[in-house]
Amino acid sequence: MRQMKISLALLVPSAVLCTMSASAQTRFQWPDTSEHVAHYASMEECLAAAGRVTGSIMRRRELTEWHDTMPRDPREALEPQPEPVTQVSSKCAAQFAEAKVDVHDFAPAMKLFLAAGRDSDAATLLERRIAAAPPRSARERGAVVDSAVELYTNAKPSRLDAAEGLLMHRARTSTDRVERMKTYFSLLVASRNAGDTARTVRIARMLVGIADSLTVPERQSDEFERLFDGNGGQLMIYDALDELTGLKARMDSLRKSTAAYAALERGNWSIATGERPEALQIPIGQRAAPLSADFWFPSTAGSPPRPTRGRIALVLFLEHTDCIGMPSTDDAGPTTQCTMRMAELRRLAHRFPSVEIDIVMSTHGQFMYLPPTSPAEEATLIKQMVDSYQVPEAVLGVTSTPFWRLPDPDSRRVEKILPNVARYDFGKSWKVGSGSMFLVDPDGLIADAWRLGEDELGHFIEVLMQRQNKGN
Amino acid sequence: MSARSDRLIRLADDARILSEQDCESIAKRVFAFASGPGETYVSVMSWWQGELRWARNRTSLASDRRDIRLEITRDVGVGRGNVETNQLDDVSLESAVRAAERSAVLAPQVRRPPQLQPPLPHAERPKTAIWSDATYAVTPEVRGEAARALIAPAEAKGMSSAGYLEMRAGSRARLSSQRMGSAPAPWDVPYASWTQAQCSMTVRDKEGTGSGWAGLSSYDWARIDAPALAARALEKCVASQHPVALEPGRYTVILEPQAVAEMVSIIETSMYREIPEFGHGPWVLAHDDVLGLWRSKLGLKVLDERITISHDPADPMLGIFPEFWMQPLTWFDKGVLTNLSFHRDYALQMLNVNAARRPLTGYRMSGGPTSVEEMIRTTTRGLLVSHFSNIRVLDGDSLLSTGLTRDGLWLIEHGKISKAVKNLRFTESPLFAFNSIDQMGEPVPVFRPVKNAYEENAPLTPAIVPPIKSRDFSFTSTIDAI
Repeated sequence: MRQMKISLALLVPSAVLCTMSASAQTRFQWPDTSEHVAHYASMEECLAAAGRVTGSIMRRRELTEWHDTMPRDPREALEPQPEPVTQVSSKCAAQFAEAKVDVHDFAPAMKLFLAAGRDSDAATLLERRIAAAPPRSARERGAVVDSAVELYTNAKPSRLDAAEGLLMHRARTSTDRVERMKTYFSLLVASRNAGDTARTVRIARMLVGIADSLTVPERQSDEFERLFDGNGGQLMIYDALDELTGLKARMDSLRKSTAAYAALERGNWSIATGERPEALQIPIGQRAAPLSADFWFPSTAGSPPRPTRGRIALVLFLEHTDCIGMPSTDDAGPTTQCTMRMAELRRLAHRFPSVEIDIVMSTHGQFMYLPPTSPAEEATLIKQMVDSYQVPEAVLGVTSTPFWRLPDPDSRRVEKILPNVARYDFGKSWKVGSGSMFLVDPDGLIADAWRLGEDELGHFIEVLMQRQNKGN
Repeated sequence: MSARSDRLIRLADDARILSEQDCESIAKRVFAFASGPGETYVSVMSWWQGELRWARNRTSLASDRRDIRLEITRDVGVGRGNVETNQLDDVSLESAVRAAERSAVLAPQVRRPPQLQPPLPHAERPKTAIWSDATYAVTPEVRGEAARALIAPAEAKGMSSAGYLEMRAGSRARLSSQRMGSAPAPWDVPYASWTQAQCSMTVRDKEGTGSGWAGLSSYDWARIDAPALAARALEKCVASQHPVALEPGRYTVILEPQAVAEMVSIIETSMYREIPEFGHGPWVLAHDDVLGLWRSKLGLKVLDERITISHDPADPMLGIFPEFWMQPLTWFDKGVLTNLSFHRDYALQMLNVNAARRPLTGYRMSGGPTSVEEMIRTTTRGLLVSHFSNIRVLDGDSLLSTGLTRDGLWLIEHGKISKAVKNLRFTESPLFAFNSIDQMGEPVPVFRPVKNAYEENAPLTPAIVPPIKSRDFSFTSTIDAI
C-alpha cells in the first residue's frame, strides 16, 4: 500500500507537468496579414502604409503610361494626392491626437497629419515644437523651420501658403540679409516647381529688392559666395531677374531680333552679377560655329556646313556615358535624361518639321557591352541608337574622339576635347555637356541655349518662325 | 525511383561527392523535364565535410557530413526563374523545374536576350592544384587518432588545449541545356572537384597566463604536419607564461609569417583600381586638374624593394579554384605597385579592353635569407609577434589599422628572448611596416582557410609569406587578455 502511494505521488506531478507542457503548446497559425492600418501602433508604420499605397498606385501608373519621356507638368505638385493614400493616412492617423504627440516626433507626425489632411493639427504641432526649442537656440528653431518647410512643400498638394508663412516670418525677423536672400530663393524654387507663377514673381521681386540693397562687403562675403551650391548668390539674383523679366518680355525681345534678346539677357546678367554684359554665361547672340564630324548620317549631311544658314536649327550635344551607358549588363543603356531629351526632340521635330535638327556625338572606343570597335563601326551603332528614338529628319554627326593613354601600367584612355565642344563652349565657364541644346536662328546666331525646356523652346521657335516669315 | 538516382540522393560512403558523370546525368534529367523553349542551366554542387573540434582536451564535436545542392535556372522569354533543391528523385526534379518556370513567367526580370549579352573573350581556365587524395581519404577514425595525438602532449604537461581539424571535398559544375556535349561557354563552369584541409590548435596553461597557437591550411592534408603544429603551440604556451607588462611605444618587431599575412590582409582590401581613381585609398597619388582625373600610384614604388607579391594560379603550393579571368599576376614588383584588380565593365569603359582582373586573394610573397633565429640574434631590443587578431582599419587612405597581438609576445634583449610580454594593441599601417624592413626570412604557407568557400563561391586565400623584421612598429596600449 505504501509503495502504491509513492507511485501515485510520483505520477501526479508527472501528469501535471504533461498537462502544462501540452497546454503551453499552441498550434501554428498564420499571422493576420490583412491591412488593418487602424491597429498600427506607430506613426512610422502609418507612413509606411501610406508609402506602400502610393507605391502601388505609381507602379500601376508606370505599367500603363511611361511618363519618363513626357514633359513635366509644373502644376502636378498642386494636385491632391490619390484618394486611397488620403484614406489610409486618415484611418491610420485617427488614433494619434495632436495634443498627445511628443514634440520630438514632430517630423513624422506632421508628415502624417498633412497626408491625412489634418493641416491645423500639423500647424499646432509645429508651434509646440518651435516653442519647445530653448529660447536662445536659434539654430534649433531654424532647423525645425527648415524641416517644416520641406514637409509643407513636399506634401501633396504642396502647402505653399504655410511654407511661405514660415519663411516670411523668418525673413522678417532675420537681420542677416544674405540669409534672407537664401530664404526667398528657396521659396521661389518651391513656387516655381509647383507652377505657382504669381507667387514666383512676387518672391522674385522681394529677392531682387533685397539683393539691390546688399552692401559691397555683403556681396563679397563668404556667405554670399556659398549660396546656390557654392556658385554664388549672383546666380540667384539672375534667376530672379529672369522671372521678373518674364517669358512674354523675352519673346517680345527675340521677336525684334536675336541681338535685342541678347542685350536684354546680358543686361540682366550685368545687373545680377556686376560683371560686364558680355560675361553672360549663356552664349545668346554668339554665332553658331559650323559643326564638324568624321561620320555624317546621312553621309551627305556635312555639306553645306551645319547648322544651315537660313534655317532655324536645334543643335543637341549628347555624351556617350549618358546615352550609350556603362557597359555593365545591368546598367547598359541610356539614362532617363537622355531618353527625355530625345523624346522632347522628337515632339519638337513633329511640331516644327521645317526646323533643322543636328545631333552631335562622338566615339568612345566601346559601345555598351560590345568589345572595342572601330570608329566607323561605333558610329554606325550610335546611328542605330539615335534612330531608335525616331526623330524625323534628324542629322547625326559623329566625331572620332582623339585620345591618348596614360603611361603603363595605368593605361587609362584620356579623351581630348572635341572641336565641336570647344567651339560651342565660347570660352565660358559653363561647359557644353550631354543634353546641351542650342537654338540657332536663320542668321546663324544662337538664340538660346541649355536652359530651355520643351515648352519654352516651342515658344521661341514659333517666334523665330514668325520673324522668318516676316523676313526679319 | 531508379537505383542510380537513389545512390545519388544518399551519397554513400564510397561516393562522398558527385563525379563528373553524376553531374551530367542529373543535368540531363533536369533538361528533359523542361517544357517549351528557352535555355536551362543546372548548377550541381556536392560537398563532404569531416570535422573534429575539441576544447579543454576533450572532443566537443565530431561530424562527417555531406550534401548536394542543385540550382535550376529556367529562361522563359525575357524572364528568368531560379529554384534550389537537394532532392534528386524524378518527382522532385520535375516539381523544381515547374517552379522555376512559374517563377520566370510570374516575376520576369527585364533581362537582356542572351545574344546581346557581353561576349566574353576566349580564355582557358588555368590548371590548378586543388585535389588531394590524402585529404579525401581521411576518415573519422583518422581524425580521432590525429586529435588524440595532438591533445596528448599538452595534457601530459598539464595544459589545456582546444583545436579544430577539418577535411573537406566538393565538386561543382554549371551546365547548359544548349551546350551539352559541345564546347562550354565562358560562363559555364566545367566540372571541378577539390579538397581542403585545416588544422589549428591553441594551448593554454591552467592559470591562464600563457597561450600558444599554431595552425595551417592547405588543399593537401599531407602537407600539414599536425604533430609539429601541436608541439609549436605547446612550446609557445610554455614560453609565454607569466608575461610582464611592457610600456607601449615604437619597437623593432619580428613578425612571424602568420602576423605578416594578417598585415598583408589589410592591403588586400584596397587592391582595386576604382578606389584610387575615385580619389580614395592608399594608392591615390593626386588629382590631375588638367586632365580632370585622379592619378594612382600604379608604377610607383610603394613598399620596400625586397617585397614582391605575385600570384600564379598554377603554383602547386597555392591551390586556387580555376576561375575565369585568372592569370599569373604580379601585384607588387620589387616594391613597385604594378597591378590593381578591375571589373570588365571598368575595362571596357576606361581601358577599351575586353578583360577583367580578379582581386588579390591567394598570393606568394618574396622573402629573404634570414631565419627568425638570426633575426632575434641581431636584435638589440624588440618584440617577437606570433600573430594578430581583431584588426580594424582606422583610416582607409593610409591603411592605418589597429589590432591586438595574440598567443605569444616576447621581448628580445641583446639578441635573446628575455621574457614573455603581455599583449599589446598596435596602431600602425602595413605600408609603414613594409617600408621599414630590416630583414626577411623564408616564405612559408600560413593558416588562411575560408569557411564554406566553395559553397559560398568565395575565393580561397592561400598565402605563402615570410617572417619580417621591421623597425619602429607602433604599439599604443597594453592588453590584459592572453
